[in-house]
Amino acid sequence: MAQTTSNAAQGLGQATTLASGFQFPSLHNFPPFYTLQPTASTWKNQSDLWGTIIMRYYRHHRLYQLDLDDSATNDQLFSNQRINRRLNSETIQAIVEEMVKKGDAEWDATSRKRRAIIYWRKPEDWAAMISSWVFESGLNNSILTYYEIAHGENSEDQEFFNIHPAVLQKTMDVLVKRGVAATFQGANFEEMGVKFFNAGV
Amino acid sequence: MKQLQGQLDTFKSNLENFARNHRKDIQKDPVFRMHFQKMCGNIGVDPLASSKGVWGELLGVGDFYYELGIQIIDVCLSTRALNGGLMELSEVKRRVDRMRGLRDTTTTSTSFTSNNSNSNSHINKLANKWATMTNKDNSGMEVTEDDVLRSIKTLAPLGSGFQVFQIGDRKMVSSVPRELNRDQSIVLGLVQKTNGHVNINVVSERLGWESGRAKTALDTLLNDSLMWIDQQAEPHEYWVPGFFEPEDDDIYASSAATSTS
Repeated sequence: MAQTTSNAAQGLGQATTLASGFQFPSLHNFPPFYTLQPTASTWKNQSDLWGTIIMRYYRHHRLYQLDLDDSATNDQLFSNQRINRRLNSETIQAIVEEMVKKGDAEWDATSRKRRAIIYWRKPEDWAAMISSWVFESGLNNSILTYYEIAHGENSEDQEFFNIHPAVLQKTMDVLVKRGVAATFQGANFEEMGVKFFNAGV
Repeated sequence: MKQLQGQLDTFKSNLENFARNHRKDIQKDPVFRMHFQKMCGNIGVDPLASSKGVWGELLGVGDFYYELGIQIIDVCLSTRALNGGLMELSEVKRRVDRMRGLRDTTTTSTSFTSNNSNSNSHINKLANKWATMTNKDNSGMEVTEDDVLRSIKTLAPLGSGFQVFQIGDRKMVSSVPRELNRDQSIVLGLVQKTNGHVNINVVSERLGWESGRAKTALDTLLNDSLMWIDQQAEPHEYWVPGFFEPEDDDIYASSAATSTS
């Protein structure tokens, strides 16, 4: 079993920085951070802290979906080779469950709690961002396809470029519910259309 | 007796003159302040009792400790998520210094230095926050551990639940009302010498305890959220996060913020 010596000696107080530029908090080097804490109040804090790290990581890398079965992707975030510790998928699931309670994540209903969307931005925020982009670019007079929003030339420099389909759909739901836009069925998801109402903003 | 009273009065008025003349030194120089405190204590004057009294008006020291008290509360609460509300005095002081915009002058054995920009910006933010709140620039107002202890004492009547425990050879500040039993204190004292973590075997061997007694002490510390358990080590390691003090503490502040919102 891994022998842990002084964390000071190992420089564990210093945060790890990934090639992507993402910097883990030094807490990522704290060995018990990888065990689901049996004390309720400690677990509450632990899951909050993990939730914060997940949100930051996902925002930094523009990721949207967490898949418990995608261990290759999860390894970078949920394991630490320096201290030879790893979160097991039950614990990751429990953390996501806490994030879902707080509205920071949402399970894919068909996935039996194996996949979740991580809301490092809320659909309401995406909705505001997309609608102001639409009006500022004068795209409000025509019907836009979901493809044009997520992958179109006009949106290349936008934060929502390559937005996850599930998040885009949630965002559109918000806009429709607010009466800001109407959506139209397409042959497939990317051909779904949306029309913004001029009085909407 | 009358004569004695007269002498005392003279001494008091001399002390007042002294304080008036050395006001700046008292506020700026922590060692000077400590000696002055002792001098006052000897004749039964407590300049910290209130910022309203003669002494407070004369010196502004009441404000000094009041302000320091608020900074201590901020430090302790923002790190509670990790350390369960138990923190080394030296660490409290170090963080208060940073909050006041002072650079690290002392490094404790359990602290780490890092130069990441996140933590710096966080510190600057805090320093600015204090500058705005207190409407003055605190830079250069160094505090000592003695100041921190005094300030915690002044918090006590507010029912703050702040206490200072002597554990091993270190003083620990507790921001949660609690009692530590003897075994818990002994184990926490031991952990200071074992790099912040222990297991049942280490506790048994080093303290000569039966494993049942060791396990009970560790489990109660775990229950009180003063320890975290690492079940991926064999035997399981119990860690005191208060001894694992990360530099980049902005994450704790932000997760505390989300949990209160």
